[in-house]
Amino acid sequence: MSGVAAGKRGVRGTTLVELVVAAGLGVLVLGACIGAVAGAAHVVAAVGGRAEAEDTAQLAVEAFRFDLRRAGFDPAGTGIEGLAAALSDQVTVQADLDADGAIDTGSEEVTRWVCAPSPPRLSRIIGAQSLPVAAPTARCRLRYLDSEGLELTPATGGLGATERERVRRVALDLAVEPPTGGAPAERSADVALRAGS
Amino acid sequence: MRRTVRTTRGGALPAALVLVAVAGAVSGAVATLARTELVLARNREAAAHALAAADGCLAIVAADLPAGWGFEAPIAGPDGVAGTADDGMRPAPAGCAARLAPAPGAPSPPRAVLAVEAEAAGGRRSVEAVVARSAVPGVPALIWLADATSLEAPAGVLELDGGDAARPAAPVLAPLAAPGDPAVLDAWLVAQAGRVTLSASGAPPLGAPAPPLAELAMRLRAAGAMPGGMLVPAGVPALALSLVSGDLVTGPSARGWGLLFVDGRLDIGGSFEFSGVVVATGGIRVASGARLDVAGAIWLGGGATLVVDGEARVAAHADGLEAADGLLRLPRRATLASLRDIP
Repeated sequence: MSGVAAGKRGVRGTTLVELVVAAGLGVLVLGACIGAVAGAAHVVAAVGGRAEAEDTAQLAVEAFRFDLRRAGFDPAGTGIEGLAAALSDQVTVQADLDADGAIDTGSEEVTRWVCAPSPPRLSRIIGAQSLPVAAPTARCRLRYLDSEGLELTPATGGLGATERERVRRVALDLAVEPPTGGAPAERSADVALRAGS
Repeated sequence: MRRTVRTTRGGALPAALVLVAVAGAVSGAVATLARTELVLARNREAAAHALAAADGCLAIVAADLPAGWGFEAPIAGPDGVAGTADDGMRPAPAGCAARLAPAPGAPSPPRAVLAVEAEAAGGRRSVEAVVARSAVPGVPALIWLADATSLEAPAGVLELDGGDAARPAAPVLAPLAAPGDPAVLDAWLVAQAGRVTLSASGAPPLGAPAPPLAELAMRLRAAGAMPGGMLVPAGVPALALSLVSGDLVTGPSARGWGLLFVDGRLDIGGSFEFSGVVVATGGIRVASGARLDVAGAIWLGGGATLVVDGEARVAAHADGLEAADGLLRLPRRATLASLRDIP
């Protein structure tokens, strides 16, 4: 008889207290799971954002290096000026890529790199086309150095023609902020100019 | 009894499975990201290695281009005949190929297009450069040799001063330049430390192609150089191009200015002072008790020796070189004028 009674109590279900305790534990476990998943998702997003910032900074300095290395490329020997403008926030380089002895200002033969302050970004400008290469930038700085490694500081209007002839290296210091926050991805390019040497 | 067991089992298994699935998805995403970044980093590393190899190859091939006036001869290739299959082929280090081609446009200033392609660490990069002739005549050295092994131990004293007193800001010249490894020249200088003195701020010896003396002699003749020379025993000598066929033996005193080309051996038995460039295809001998004083540069031909039994001094003097260059354009080294990467 007592066995029957016990069986009946088991079939009867749980008490309210048991249900509340079980529900509470369930919420705790679920919360912990959601927290873990959210944390993991945050880590994935942070890693992805960091990787994106690193890639952006790397690609930017590679493209900058590519353009600056060819400054003054002059197979036709017409005396093309490699560094057409040198300001603290932008640099313009020229190269006779099709070897016709002339510079086509609407083509890649004239390339301008600009560190824009608002919004903070690094852009590559060809003719009327502006391509944001890296954004948002925490730091974007251009430096000009002579053959002795001394820095030539541009005035408001940029370096004059005589000073530009003295420039042997152009450096870019770049820091790109990851979209998910955190420390910026930093890169530097120090490119030697061949033309005029 | 069976229902009771089912009720107490709970949702642990589904929850654990969900958790494992989520953790797996997150781990997979992180692993994919990491793998992508790793591949990108490896590609960048390979590209950087290849670009460094291409730059190095370019520098080596350009430095090996013969000194001269234009680029017609190296463009003609190893057989020296233009219009053949080997046109433009240049010797290059392992893992690199180089080709020299005429530059488009007007022939002046002399220049050529040097294209190199290098492979390194699984990457491949191509660079195209414009090579031109240096603005500085000759090489930045006091003595330019066609053969480094022709150096002999001096019995007298040889003083080499690479600093130009008239142009203190000018770069200090190397004491010696010759084809091949400059370590040979360095070793010779070290071995002769007691007999050869260098200026305190002297630059190290440098590797350079041989001086093109045969073509220089042809150009001298075409320019109407004074046969027999324009040396004077005293006073201020005239600026002149001098071409001596055969050996030249100087007297007790001789002075000159400009370019002296001795197509043989220059034998100095007394005092010899010269401002500019002294060329001797058969070498120079400074007899015991004699003195050679050159403000400018000495260029020696293949197999020619510099024998110093007396005293010799060679000092940098850009004005002297430029004066000679003004009379007849002197040969120059090839330099990289500009370049571009081929994407």
